[in-house]
Amino acid sequence: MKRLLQHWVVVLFVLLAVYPLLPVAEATRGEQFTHLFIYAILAQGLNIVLGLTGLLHLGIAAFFAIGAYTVGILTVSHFPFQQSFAVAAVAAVVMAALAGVLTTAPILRLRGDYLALVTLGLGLIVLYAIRNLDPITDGTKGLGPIDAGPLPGFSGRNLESWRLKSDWGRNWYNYPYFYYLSLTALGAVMLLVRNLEHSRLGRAWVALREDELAATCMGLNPARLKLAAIAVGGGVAGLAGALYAMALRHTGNPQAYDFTLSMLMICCVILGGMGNRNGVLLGTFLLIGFDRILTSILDNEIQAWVGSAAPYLKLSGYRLLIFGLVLILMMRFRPEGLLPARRIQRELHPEYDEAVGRAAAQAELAETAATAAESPAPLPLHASNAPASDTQHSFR
Amino acid sequence: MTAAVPSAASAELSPGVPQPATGDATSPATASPLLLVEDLEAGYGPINVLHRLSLTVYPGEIVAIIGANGAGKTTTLLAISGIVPARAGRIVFQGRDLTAEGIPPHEIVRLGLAHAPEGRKIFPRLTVRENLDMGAFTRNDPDGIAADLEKVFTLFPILRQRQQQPGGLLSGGEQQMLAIARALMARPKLLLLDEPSLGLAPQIVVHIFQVIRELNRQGVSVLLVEQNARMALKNAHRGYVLETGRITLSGTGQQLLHDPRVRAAYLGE
Repeated sequence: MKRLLQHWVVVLFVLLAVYPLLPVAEATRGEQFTHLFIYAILAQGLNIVLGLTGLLHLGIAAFFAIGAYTVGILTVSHFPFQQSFAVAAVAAVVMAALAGVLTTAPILRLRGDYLALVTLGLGLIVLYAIRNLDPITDGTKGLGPIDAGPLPGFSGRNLESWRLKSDWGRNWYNYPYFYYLSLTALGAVMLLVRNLEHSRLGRAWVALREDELAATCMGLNPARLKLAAIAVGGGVAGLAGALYAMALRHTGNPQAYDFTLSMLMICCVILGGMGNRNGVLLGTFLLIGFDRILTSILDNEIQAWVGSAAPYLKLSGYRLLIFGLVLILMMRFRPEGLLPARRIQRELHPEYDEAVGRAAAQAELAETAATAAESPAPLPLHASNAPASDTQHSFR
Repeated sequence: MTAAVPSAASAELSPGVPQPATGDATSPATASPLLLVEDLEAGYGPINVLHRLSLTVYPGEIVAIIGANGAGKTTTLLAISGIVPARAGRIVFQGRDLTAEGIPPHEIVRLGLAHAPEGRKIFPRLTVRENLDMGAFTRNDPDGIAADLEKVFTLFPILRQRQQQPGGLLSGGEQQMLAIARALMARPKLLLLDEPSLGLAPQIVVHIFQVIRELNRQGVSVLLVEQNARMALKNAHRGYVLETGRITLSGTGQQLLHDPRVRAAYLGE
């Protein structure tokens, strides 16, 4: 049992993989889960930028939007491209990564709050560009319908072969095919983040987050490392955007890519535990799961119970209030998140470290006091009127 | 300036002055300098901190820069390692002109110039071992890195015991050892040390300087800046006195230690 808990992520993935085969499974619920996976990918993208590298990026939704609209532009029928989803998704990742590099390169010197402000602006610029570039993005209507095949030369329609249930779709973008595609993508991103954490690059990111001057002294190139982080994080967010557009088969309302989404993702990362990929996964499942799935269930329950559909009885109307409350409570009681990265927990709970550090210092003093007595040349630090003693320290 | 004090130029290379060079080091008078700084100007914003600063470090030497707060000691080291850009003058390391070639800081480390910055600046949330690995970030020879790790652990046995502890949990002295060890992992020819005694108990300062001399014996040249002038000059082959961005005195460690002006201004006599 304890082993199972330690590997809860693997267990969770297995459960999600068998979910469509269970008798309780429903297509509508499965599609909600698909959205959960997509937001979890987005949160991992932010985790690379914010959790690992420590860049407070408030515009992650911009990369999500760029990914979604790249897929939209490359696949919808009124543009001449008509690419398959695989091609469009790769383009989405590249475009989002490129956008990250191009928008971050001029602001590399900014740190902390200033970087946050500029990235906040980036998110707004992308949102308003989408809303106002009517000929390309169809403005507030959004691009659609997206009707691409999964691979070049494969339409992915009428997949009859393993239809097990009556509510399963017939096309590749229906449940459960797209459910599995998103789950696989999420798994791949989790593995990518895991490998990054243990790689040279990942450790360099952590070192950069800890101390930029020291990292530079070690021969790290802060500018290149930050750009790499934004490129990888932005690319992952772009992948999430591509999946999002495909899941909706439409880029949807541009308002879906506004600051609220960036903020929600930051909440997910903080709730779960910055820099801990499993924590971020948990945080996203809890917050987005609550937002997308639980509130609608609870709304129905409440309405059935009270017998009225008054707006103030709808939990979904209070979602931002609830997120804000969660964030405040987390900051007060568990600032390191539910599943903190080992390293960040130490920083936020210094009292433990201080106690250990004091003990270490005392031990060190005791030790050096013992060795100093036998060392050949104890320095007469206060006997400054005895320059003769200096000869003890000649180099020969 | 009184005549009794050797001028900067004569003290530096005068053959009559005994050079307490280390075992295998060639005589500084004949060897070409490892580091040559000429007429260096550097600063922040509108303010120039260093004014036509010149100094040299020969292979195998320990050179100390002493000076008061704000004299420009840290800026000197930051300019040499490229983090604060030089506005004028030359910095030549092993025959390569770092300023003229515009070599960025992360490349300077590769050339064999490692910098342990002021206030230790270890990575508190990385373990001791990860800190040391970061020191070897520029290197690509696993065997050499493993050998150097072993060397560093021999030099600082306490770090071997604390390998798995995060750097932030070490005591001040241990953190300074870790900072020096981390810089050594880049296998530098010249080590820049910024205030290695800062905030440490006197006994630990003694220990740190013993280690600095030990690694100098092993062939690493050291340029260190210190406010603890006595310790620095006692342990250095040569020293420079830095005042408001200018070198005002230079000489061997012993000469400076007995110079009346140094004694009055920096040794509290």
